[in-house]
Amino acid sequence: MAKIDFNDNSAVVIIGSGAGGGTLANELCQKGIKVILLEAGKHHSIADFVNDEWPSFSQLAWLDKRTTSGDWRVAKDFPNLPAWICKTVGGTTTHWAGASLRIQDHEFRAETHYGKIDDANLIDWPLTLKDLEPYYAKAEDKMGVTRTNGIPGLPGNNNFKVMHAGAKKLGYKEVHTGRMAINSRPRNGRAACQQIGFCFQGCKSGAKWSTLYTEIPAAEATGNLELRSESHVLQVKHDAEGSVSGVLYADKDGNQQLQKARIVCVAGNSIESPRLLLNSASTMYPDGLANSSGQVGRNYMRHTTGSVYATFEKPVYMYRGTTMAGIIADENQHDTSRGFAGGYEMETLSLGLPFMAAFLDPGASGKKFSDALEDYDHMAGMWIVGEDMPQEKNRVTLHTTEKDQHGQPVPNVHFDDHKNDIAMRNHAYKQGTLVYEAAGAKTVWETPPYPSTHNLGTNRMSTKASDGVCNGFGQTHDIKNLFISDGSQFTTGAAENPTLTIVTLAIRQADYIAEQMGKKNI
Amino acid sequence: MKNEHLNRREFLCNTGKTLASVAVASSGAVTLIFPATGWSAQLAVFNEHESKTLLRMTREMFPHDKIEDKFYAVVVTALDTDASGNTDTAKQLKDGVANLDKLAQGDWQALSANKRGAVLKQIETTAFFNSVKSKCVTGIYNNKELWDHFGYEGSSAEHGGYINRGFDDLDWLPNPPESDSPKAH
Repeated sequence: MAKIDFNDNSAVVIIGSGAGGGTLANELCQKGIKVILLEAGKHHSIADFVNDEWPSFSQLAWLDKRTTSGDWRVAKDFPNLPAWICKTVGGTTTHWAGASLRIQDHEFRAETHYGKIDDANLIDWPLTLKDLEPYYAKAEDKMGVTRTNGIPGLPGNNNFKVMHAGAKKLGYKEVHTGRMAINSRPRNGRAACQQIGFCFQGCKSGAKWSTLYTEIPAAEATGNLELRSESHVLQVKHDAEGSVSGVLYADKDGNQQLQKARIVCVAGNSIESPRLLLNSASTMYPDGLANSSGQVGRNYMRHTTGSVYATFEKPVYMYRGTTMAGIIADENQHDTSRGFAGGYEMETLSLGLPFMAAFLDPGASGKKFSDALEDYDHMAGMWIVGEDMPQEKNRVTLHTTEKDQHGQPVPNVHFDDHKNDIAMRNHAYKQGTLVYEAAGAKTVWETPPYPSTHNLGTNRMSTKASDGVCNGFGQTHDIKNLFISDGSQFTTGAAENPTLTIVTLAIRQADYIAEQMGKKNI
Repeated sequence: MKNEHLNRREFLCNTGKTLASVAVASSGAVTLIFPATGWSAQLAVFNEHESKTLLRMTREMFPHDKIEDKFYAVVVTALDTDASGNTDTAKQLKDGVANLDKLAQGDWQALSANKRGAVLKQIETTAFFNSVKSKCVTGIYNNKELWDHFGYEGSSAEHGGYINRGFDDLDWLPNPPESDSPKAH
């Protein structure tokens, strides 16, 4: 591993080691560019992961204080847990389920296709599917996505069998075990899936792609990477000309360190990334870095999620095997005859008993609830993932009084459902219920959204500098050596799980950064 | 052994109303001497009436007919541990029990099942009710000794996962075609 001096201003500093930051680090290192990768969390290994939900949550989740506001139910049930994302080397790629779907062509041009929608801050992405296709192909190969590159699909588990049977009876056509970054057979030094069933708790077989044991060690092998874990960035610093010049971070002992940099890439996920830019406000940039548009922190999206769980006469054991074991893709089109713009995916999901008790109907008690858990081993479940509308008022702001352990203002996450979100969720609940009823369900539960796992949009890409924070390469409009490298650059949410697109954008961004460095533009 | 089930995460502690506030509850080994008469005498804060009322309350909130009282007693013991470390918590829980009896105009436990339920309904938005509920969610469903009852098999990696242990053994619905669900490689 490289060792880079605090005063060395020739390296690229990347903040966050997940899908965006971890991938970008490797791509740059492979090109011979020196990188310092700063990660707030600890460096765990596969051996540390535990198949036990609460202890794993305590090990991997981002638990620093956050607050919430708005009409979403998460604000009521989990007021200090707006998101279920990770603080660990590998970021949320330790926790993600592995679904790897390309965003559809029309979704990159949401404003064009959906038209004006009241109270939605819709614009088109400053890029198209065609621009991304070669990079999607690279990402799918890198991650080993099933049903691409000749990689067979995964075998379906019991939970998938129930969803498949119901979906087919209902007439759905595209129902299969998905495109998953989980090895169906050994590939690239990683084992095949053992159907362990704790995908969310860190994959113990390494079959699921995570930057922790793919991109990051590959980057280290080049000799160009210095990974610093337990290094929590507090501010991005700039020089008198307004270019970013380094970062101030708290190391594992709580001591503040100033690391100089040639380029800074922010990849702390869609709550921490805008928070960091806002916390970096200075005399020159009183509203925070890269915020001349006022859009930093705004347009927070979290997908129109929800779950449907159903109980059956006979056993299912849904938790056995991959957590996200299959998909119904028929509802992912833009078809306004359903009463809303955009589309959604239905994907199997299971929770272990401890989390099912916490999330099935947060705050519930009584016989109906305990009867459902009594039937836990007879339960099947699916998750709804749909496009939600960007709204300016849905935003990450700095709390006016609450501070974190480093003395920095904590983020508040405000979210109100858009009426399009509600119409979509209700449609998806109805369809999910019909799927399970077609498979013979006894009872059906419409479970409200969990703390957000797909956090998007708070530093969005835009063609015009007044509409967003960065351009189509994630380069901020205001500061040319400051980049956004995570899901916060998404212009709109689309219906697909975002990780594949985050990785795709990181690969493309690495090419752009290398080219711009070569031209001495940055 | 001291009961260790409630290693609360400070980050969520101050909300007092979130289920995640009991983010880390261990397996809650049932080391209690129960239902031997000594049980409530071992508690630090609750008297016998309070502990029995709370035991009844937890069972009514999350009724599972085949689960023995000793498992609900784990929840009450955890509440007692919390109360012993925080006077505000102790007051909230003791006052909560007293309020149940007040609303019952006597011993709440002595009411009929329907009437007990009606009283609980009256207090279901109180902080007291929420404290007891949150503790139940982890105290019951995160208790490894009860997972077998619910048909949850827990940690699987050390057993090689389910690839050869029934991940696809459901036989009461048609199997999907291989195009949708390929065979394992």
